[in-house]
Amino acid sequence: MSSYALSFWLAGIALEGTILVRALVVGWFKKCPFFFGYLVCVFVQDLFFLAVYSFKFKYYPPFYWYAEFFSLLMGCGVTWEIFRLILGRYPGAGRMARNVLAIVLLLVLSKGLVGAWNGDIPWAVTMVELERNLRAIQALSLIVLAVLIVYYRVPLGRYAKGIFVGYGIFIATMVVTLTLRSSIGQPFQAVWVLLQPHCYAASLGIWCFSLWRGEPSPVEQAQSKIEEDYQSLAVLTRRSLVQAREFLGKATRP
Amino acid sequence: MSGTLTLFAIGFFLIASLVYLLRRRGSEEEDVRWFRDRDLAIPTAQFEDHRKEQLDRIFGFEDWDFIRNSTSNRIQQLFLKERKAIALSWLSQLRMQARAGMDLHVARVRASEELEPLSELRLAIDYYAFLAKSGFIAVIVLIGGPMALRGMVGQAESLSNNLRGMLRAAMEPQGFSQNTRIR
Repeated sequence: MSSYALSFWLAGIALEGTILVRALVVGWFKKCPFFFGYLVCVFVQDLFFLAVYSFKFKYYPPFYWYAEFFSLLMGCGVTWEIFRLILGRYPGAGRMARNVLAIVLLLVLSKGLVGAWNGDIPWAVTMVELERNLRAIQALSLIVLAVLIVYYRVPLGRYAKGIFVGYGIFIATMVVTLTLRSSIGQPFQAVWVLLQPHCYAASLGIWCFSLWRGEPSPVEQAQSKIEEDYQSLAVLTRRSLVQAREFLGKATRP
Repeated sequence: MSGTLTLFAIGFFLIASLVYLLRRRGSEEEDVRWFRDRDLAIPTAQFEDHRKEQLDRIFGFEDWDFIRNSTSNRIQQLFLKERKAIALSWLSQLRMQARAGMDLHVARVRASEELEPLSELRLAIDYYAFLAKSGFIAVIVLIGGPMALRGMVGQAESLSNNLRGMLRAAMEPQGFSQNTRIR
């Protein structure tokens, strides 16, 4: 391993350690148990892998893939926690998210199953492809969340935004690099080894920066005390928009 | 190949969404009160009186006929240029009001446990269709000038009335429902 790669690895461990120490001091573990549990796992894995890489390299590849799969499962928990953290106080938007996610997952699984049945698209031949596909599903979930945040104007605290953006960047770059790795193959391996730590370091940097200053979430202030009757609200808004559009249509005709 | 492209698209779309979220102004402070500060005021009585006259002036024939018959080419061009700017500004304001009404709707329903995904989807389609149509009209005005929409006078008034009604309903919670409850 080059000194650059080693120093990058150590810097990653230092950043993870910094975030975890800060989380212990401020008491973030209670707020986001999955996220910080995930970080603890990655931190321990990194220390363990550094030792394996340095002293027993032949065990490194199998250990790496087992650990990667474990991180992947933990990552699903982090995705769920991000949804809970952001949409927890907005049951309406949360319900919309669940429905859209169910449709998206159904479509993805149907496409995968049909492809596998026809022999066109093997679900996952290698660990790289399996990880890529599962990360892609996580990425789709996060896209759905981002769209709903923008559409419903869900307020994001610095805290939630940092976790979401950092993890989202990590997942997106993983999907892109794993896709390149599985489509180009072995020639991309050298670039992948160099690229992946940088992507993860970017996420760590975002987490460290945004989580450093603990702020009360504005979400708590945003909650309305009065709940409108949804049906009346939706019907009236829709009727107004339909009529407005019809008038616009007429406007184009002389 | 298509699978690879789809995966790339997913990755890059997620990155783009996150960058947009990071750049979104005031996303950390936004809440329902934000809508109160916007220019959603229902037109005043004075505005009501002059509204029809304003629309007639923007899209009507009278002024244009007078200018065309009694002034030079330079004045005619100046008139068309100014009318175009006014018409575009009027359309822009209309779109802004519709957008504000929709923003108010989503800000209210996002916390509702009764939210129905299908209704929301239809509403979103209507809203974006409205924005698309008003954008289309803006393009016509931009290319052909306000006189390209000569039949607009009556319809524009109805459109304005309609949006005003929507905004009034949106600004008055009791206007939407008698069935409210304190959580």
